[in-house]
Amino acid sequence: MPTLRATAVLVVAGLALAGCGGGSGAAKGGGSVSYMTWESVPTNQALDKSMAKLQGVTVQREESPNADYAQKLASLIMSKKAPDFFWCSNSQEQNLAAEGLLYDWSSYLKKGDGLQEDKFSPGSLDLWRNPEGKLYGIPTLANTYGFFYNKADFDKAKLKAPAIGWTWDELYADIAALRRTDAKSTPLVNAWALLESPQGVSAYSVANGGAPIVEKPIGSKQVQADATFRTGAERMAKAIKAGEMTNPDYDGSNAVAKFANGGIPLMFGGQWLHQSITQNKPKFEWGYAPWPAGTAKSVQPIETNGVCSPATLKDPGSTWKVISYMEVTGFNETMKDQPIAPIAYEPGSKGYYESLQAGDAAAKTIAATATYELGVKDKFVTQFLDPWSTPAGDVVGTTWNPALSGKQDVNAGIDGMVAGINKLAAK
Amino acid sequence: MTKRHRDTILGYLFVSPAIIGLLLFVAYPMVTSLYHSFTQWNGLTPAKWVGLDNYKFLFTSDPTFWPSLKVTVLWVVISVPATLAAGLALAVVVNRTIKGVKVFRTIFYLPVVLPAVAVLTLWKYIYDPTYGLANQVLTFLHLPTSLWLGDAHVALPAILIVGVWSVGGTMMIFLAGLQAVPEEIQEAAKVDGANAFRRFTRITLPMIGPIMMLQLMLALNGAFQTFNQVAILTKGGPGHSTNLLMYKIYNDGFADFITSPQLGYATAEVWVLFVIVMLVTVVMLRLTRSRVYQGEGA
Repeated sequence: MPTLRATAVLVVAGLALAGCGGGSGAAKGGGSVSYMTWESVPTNQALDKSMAKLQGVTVQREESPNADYAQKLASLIMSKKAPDFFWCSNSQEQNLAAEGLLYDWSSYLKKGDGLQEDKFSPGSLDLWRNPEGKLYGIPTLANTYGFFYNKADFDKAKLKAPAIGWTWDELYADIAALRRTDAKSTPLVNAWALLESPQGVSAYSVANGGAPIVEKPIGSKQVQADATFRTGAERMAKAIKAGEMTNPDYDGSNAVAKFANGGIPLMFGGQWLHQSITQNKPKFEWGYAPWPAGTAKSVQPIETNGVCSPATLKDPGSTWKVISYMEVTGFNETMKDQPIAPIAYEPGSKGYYESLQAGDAAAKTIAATATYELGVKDKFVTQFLDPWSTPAGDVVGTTWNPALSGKQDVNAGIDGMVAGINKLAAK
Repeated sequence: MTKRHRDTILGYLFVSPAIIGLLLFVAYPMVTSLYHSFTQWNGLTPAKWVGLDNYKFLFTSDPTFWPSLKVTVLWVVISVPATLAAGLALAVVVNRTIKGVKVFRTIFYLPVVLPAVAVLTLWKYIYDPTYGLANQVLTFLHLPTSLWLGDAHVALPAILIVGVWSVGGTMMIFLAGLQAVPEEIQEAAKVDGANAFRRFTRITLPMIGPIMMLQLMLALNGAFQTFNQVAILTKGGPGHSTNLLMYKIYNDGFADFITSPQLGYATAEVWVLFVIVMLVTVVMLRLTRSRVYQGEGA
């Protein structure tokens, strides 16, 4: 009998312990959700502050280094310890989903309990669906790309500063004029490698009535380069040769500091550079303008980062609740404090725009350009998203870049790139 | 059991931790990496046997392999003699019995003691084209400035300077070799009228031949496996101007791990690099063996 009694005590104690096994989140009556970002320390702190206000779910952010984020995430996935959701790029999401490693959020979005499908900026959700239409990630921060200009340099060259609606012809005429004004410097400097990438020239092509480099952004098995695309590449190569813009291999890591110190008249980059420039306090009038329009239309970039969850996700209900909260309340508060990017889920963008509107004239041009680019109907995707995207980067680096830099014939470089990528895509 | 058997067993017991460690941490990873080099493996899902596909792709279709090998060979050809020459020159300088020589030895050896990442981060600041010390000095001397790590033509020599700067380890080994050269031979040559240059080329250099050969092998192996400078300073760029093989392997296997995990392919590259290093080492040994003074009775 004593043995039976002891067993009963142990069973009851065990059940009691199991009952307490819900973690700290149980105390609030909900689950516990972990997440990981690649953001900077101030942005993470602002996000933490906002996430702490969420009732009913305990939210825990796992520390992660920005530079080695991918490696940390990979090791967590391999050891089946990935957080409940984590920051992922569009191409990461497509690749991990193709390996069957991500959780499909399609049913949750359809339910309408939380995020609403029609409130995402046009086209943004489509790039996060796999070829079968399943949704393996939710877009969050939306990037825009454009031209940071030093108005004093434009005035000196007697040029109108770039603004919404300016054209490719104006861009090339401007950099030629700026070069004439100061023959020693390169007027257009790349702080981000998109403008001179195949996607950048594809934007030129579509804007001038040509075809895009990939017919569809997801599930494409081949790339193409039509006559308009080739014209765009030749035009760019000519400007690079003339010293009017930096080449595709240019290391733009110091460009922002140089721009803020008045050393660059025109710099290509993303809206997030606004913060770095502002911190450097440039002593001149500057602003941010979108991609130029072509003879056929204005084509603007579409690019979002997002969040993904592992296929082994244990509590999708609580995780969905946290993601929904973050998209609206979390990002509104965080971006008001740290204005990095607008949010693809439009109700979450108010904080970002409010912060910029409260800033100086340059900040207002960032807001205007972001609003314009996100709102334009015709878009181009800023990177290859299919599983062949990374090795394709090597093909671009060894065929396209040397051609644009004048180290080989432009058309031969384009042919090499098209053939190389198509070979990879066909594998 | 005889004493001899007991001693043998005891001997094996004493060396067994080392043997187990060797089997576990060297032999096992080598065998598994050879296996994985014949697979398509991303580290996240099970490996799939693909035979020689990885090797075939590497030699025929990988657009970065041959440019990377070319840069690596260039790097080895330039950095190995430069490192050896700098190490030897410093060793000769600090081999003199002058006042404060120990301080100089310490100063020259200091970069070896400092953590590589800290040293390279420091150099990154030195090479910063806007605020860096290198351009400040050039400006002060009224010389044209450079983009340094941002210029495809300058980046490789720039990381070579960093390598030569931290040549203290090579210097110390050369110094030990120089100090082992018998003083009486030098004195005899001096009495015979040989000048300093002649004594150095005809006595010192031949007598430190074995040290030179060791240094050469170490430098060759080190040069083929250069990683830190590239990973921290240039990330293989601009373009592919500093994309040394070791960094390419890391890049293919780990750097963009989530977007394109290719661990199977990276292990194939590791084996190709291993074969290249082995071949070069064997050839160099064959070429230099007959020319190196091995000491009396060797």
